[in-house]
Amino acid sequence: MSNRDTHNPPGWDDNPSSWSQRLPIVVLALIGLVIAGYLTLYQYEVIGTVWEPFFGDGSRKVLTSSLSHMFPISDAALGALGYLVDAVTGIIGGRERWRKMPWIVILFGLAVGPLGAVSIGLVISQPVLVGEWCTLCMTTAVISLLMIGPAMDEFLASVQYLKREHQRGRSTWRLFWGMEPAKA
Amino acid sequence: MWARFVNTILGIWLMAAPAVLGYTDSAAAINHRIIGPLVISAAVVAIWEETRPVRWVNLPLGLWLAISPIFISYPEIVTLMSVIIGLVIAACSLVQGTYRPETFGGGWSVLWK
Repeated sequence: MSNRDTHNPPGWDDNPSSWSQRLPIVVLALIGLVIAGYLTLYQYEVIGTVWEPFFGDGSRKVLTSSLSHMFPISDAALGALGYLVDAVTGIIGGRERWRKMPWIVILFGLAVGPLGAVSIGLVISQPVLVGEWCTLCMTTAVISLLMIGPAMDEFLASVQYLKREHQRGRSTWRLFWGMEPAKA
Repeated sequence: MWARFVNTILGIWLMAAPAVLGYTDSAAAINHRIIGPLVISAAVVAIWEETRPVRWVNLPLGLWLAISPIFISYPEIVTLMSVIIGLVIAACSLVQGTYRPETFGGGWSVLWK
């Protein structure tokens, strides 16, 4: 029960909105953005080859498969967009954003969670449906996966706050948008 | 922590096993290539204390691996492997490790109280 300072959510030993907890996630999102951006350039034929150290022709076959073009934009482009949303929603707000900006924390959690799920789904699809593997695609899946746990703790802190204050009779809608003042 | 580590390694092995042991063109390979990444995902997310309850996802996945040879035709050596690995994954999912929800506001369960 140590290290509890005034920025921490009630009942928390650490602060999930602190920069030391958020910056690593933002860095991961930016690395994911760079890799997904690179794969997007290949899918839209801006660059002619794609780096693949282990699986021979695997990356090319995965990235040009009909599966990777099942959405209006390619899967790597979708991933890049997702990482951009992760990075932006990860960086906005201060050390008390779990309380002052629940909307951004919850948006952040939703961006990290579902994006991670899509990445895992695509990794499963590669060998099962395409019959090939893609090193950089799997790398982005690992990045997405590593972001989920650290992002969910802040999500939890915000939802706990909304629940607690709602039970005290405050407006969840106003709390969600950070329009309610901190309790005296 | 070690339980999550073991399940992550076993999940990676399940993804690689069809190519390593040479049963890539079989229903067993499809099964292992689907279950492997799911096991890794649940194990990695469960490393963090706040998302530790996700470890339970690997209980049904492990049990499914153990009984799947009944429903899917496996090469003989792969049958034994699937049963053993499935049971280990299920057993590891039962290991809670250090879990102190009192250090993060009571955890997720306070949301439905």
